Amino acid sequence: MTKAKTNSRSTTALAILLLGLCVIACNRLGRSNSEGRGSDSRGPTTTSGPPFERPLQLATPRTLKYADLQITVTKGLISNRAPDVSQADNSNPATADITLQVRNTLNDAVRIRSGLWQLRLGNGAVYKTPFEDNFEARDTQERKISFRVPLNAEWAGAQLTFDEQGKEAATLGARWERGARSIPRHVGRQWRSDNQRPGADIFHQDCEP
Amino acid sequence: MDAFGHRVDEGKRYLSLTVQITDKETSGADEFVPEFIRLLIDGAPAAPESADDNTTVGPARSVEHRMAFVIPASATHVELEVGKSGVQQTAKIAIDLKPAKSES
Repeated sequence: MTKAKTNSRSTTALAILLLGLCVIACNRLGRSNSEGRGSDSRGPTTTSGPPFERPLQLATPRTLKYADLQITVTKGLISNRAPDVSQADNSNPATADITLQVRNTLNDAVRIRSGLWQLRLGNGAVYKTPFEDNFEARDTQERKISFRVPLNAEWAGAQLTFDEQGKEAATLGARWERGARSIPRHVGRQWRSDNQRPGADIFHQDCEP
Repeated sequence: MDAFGHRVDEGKRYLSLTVQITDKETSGADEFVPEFIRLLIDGAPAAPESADDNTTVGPARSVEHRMAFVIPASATHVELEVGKSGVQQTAKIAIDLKPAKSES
């Protein structure tokens, strides 16, 4: 009887000890996670060096037509944020993101197969990203395309081309605001407002018939 | 460059045409046969790559029928031939084209 009571007390003490250890472990884990979230709140992860952003200065959104789709560039940004999908490309640690609005005015869906976006920078270097998508009839969708580019990549003189394998290409040429350069994030807004030129050029359509 | 939601092949262009087809008979709807229209490119006949699905014409009615032919980018003159060759008399409509713009 006494032995049974002793065993029961030992078991209870052990259970309390285990419970206590669990509480301590959970507490530490929670603190570690909240520390992680804290670092995220300081900004997106970057691939190298201090964060920078080079926005595309669009005077007006520019549109190209492809397969009866109206594809409008609404935003562009070169930065050293970490890419959405990990791509091992140490020679091109920056990312050029271009936001597109794709409008299908037809009464039928349009399917893009084996598509390829090509971003040609002012120095002639070409960066590519594949593209496949379906656009339902009379629908407008937003898409973001990303290119891995060098840290010193600029929008000046850039061209954006799209085609499918064996099909005629559509191209947008670009003239970016003169003097565009790397903008540290903390001064970016002020820098941009100081350097905004009225009627600044931009993405003019080169050759759509 | 584009027709019916497709991009043309390299070195080619779409020639998009809309023809009005009239049924002069006053009774009964008629079916329009797309094969009765073809494009002559350097004398060689070509059927449209894409065309409207609706080929029915009501009595004493007209419909507009859209079609897209593939032609060489360098083509400057084609003919639209209407009617079934060898079965009936055909008619030809000459179409002059401006040289296609080149992509840079």
